[in-house]
Amino acid sequence: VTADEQPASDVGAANGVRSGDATRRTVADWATDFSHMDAEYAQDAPAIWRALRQRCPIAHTDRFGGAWLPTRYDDIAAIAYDTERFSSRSIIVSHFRQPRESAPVGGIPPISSDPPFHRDARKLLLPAFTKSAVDEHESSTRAFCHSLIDGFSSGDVVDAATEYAQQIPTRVMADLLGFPPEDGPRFRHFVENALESVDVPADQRAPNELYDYLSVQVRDHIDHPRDDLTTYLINAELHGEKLHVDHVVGTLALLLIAGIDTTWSAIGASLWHLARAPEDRRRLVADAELLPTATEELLRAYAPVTMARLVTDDVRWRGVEMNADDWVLLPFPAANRDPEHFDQADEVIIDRQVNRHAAFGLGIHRCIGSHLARMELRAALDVWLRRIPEFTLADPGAVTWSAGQIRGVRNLPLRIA
Amino acid sequence: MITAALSGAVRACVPGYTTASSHSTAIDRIVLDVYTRCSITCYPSLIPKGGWRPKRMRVHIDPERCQGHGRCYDLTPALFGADEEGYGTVLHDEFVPPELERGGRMSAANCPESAVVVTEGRP
Repeated sequence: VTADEQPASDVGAANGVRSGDATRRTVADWATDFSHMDAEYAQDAPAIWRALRQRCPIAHTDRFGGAWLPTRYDDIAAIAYDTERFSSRSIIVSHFRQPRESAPVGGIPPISSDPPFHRDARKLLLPAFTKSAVDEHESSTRAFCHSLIDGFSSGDVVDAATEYAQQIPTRVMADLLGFPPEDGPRFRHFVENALESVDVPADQRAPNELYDYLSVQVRDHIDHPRDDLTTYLINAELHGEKLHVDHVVGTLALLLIAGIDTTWSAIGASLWHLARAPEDRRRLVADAELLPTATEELLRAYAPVTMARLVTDDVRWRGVEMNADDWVLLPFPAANRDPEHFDQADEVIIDRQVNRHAAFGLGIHRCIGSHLARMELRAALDVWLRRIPEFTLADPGAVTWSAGQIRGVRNLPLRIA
Repeated sequence: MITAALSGAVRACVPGYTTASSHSTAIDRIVLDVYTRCSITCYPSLIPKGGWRPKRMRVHIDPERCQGHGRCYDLTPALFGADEEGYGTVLHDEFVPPELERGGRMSAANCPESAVVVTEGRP
């Protein structure tokens, strides 16, 4: 099954195209005028990357105040490793760039931090996200997956994106951070505001309720300390001092947003693939041992996350003239489909043995939640396949994909009976 | 070309022989001689009795490259572990037990940062 055969009607009005000057114009030429917020990009980004790799491997746009889109693995990796010429102080392309003075901390440390500060801010979080630390959440995650399926309405069609995939990381992150589980629906709103309305000029964006919400949570945790990541961050020390409250709130914002949209997208895209690939689905149902290998292949083919960097100084880089403060997108999903690095790169081969994919990024900013995301994805797929071994797309035309830097299905009606 | 490779192979099999040794040219001569007389299929007969030592594998993790993706310990938990921050560690610091060699190669081939380095050779 080719991974990209998404019907044209897969693109829904609910995602991607919002008001804002960056997307209002149709893309004239993907090499010189790209927009990752465009409906066509949401519909079939892999086809755009494939064409660009051949014709113009580092595409440019004047939108967003100037941005670049490398599409070859080697270029994406080189930029990810070069933290001097490419700063992380802003990592989501929009009309707003963090001021230079915010480096090396940035607004949401450590993802927004550059060396040398980055290392220390990251070190604080690492022990909470090791494989053995996140494995402690596996049984509760699996139980939650079962409870979601138990709760499906009696009809034979379910929206696996909103009723299953989205719910899992929302609950896991609420548990991890020690936020009330019933606040889940609000998190969805925060994510939308942070990631999917980036083309709206800064002065027109909704006031940031997320920071207000987090401030209330931090206050509550200061008054009532408990065994969770929020209390841990409040008590943590960096360079002999407690973290500034802005650092705590920024890191919580990062964990909440980065922990939800991404994993949700990976679970949804994987179920979308399995709904359309009965052979893969039956193999996995028959042989659960194959699941870890298949999970890696689904992560490769449907990697959700594209990060961004800001160019530090004017530079001629691999043949293109980059200006200081230009954005550079790092589409790790495009790297994962580069035929120079992967055989049959656009095919999903669920028993692919050698799979050096970059779904969780490369270099010092490797996704700190990668072990958590893998645990959630494996649990979500394993429970689903055990409970619902047979399923198909109920209405291919109703499937919608998100535009922007987090790629995943947002509506996925599946026939489950 | 082929004889040079064969000479190299023979030298690698015979302990104590180095390119600097006087035996080296003798080996070259024998290899050339045998190669020109026989087909290449007979070269295993050149291997001296008892000259083979089994190839052994070592693995190490380059700490400058490792970012804690954890593919090594996911794939081969008997060979790789994690430190308290999730960076990979090697559990067998001498040679890799033969039954884990395949796992060592798989982990190296799947490390996104190419931080897992496998070396194979005769001790």
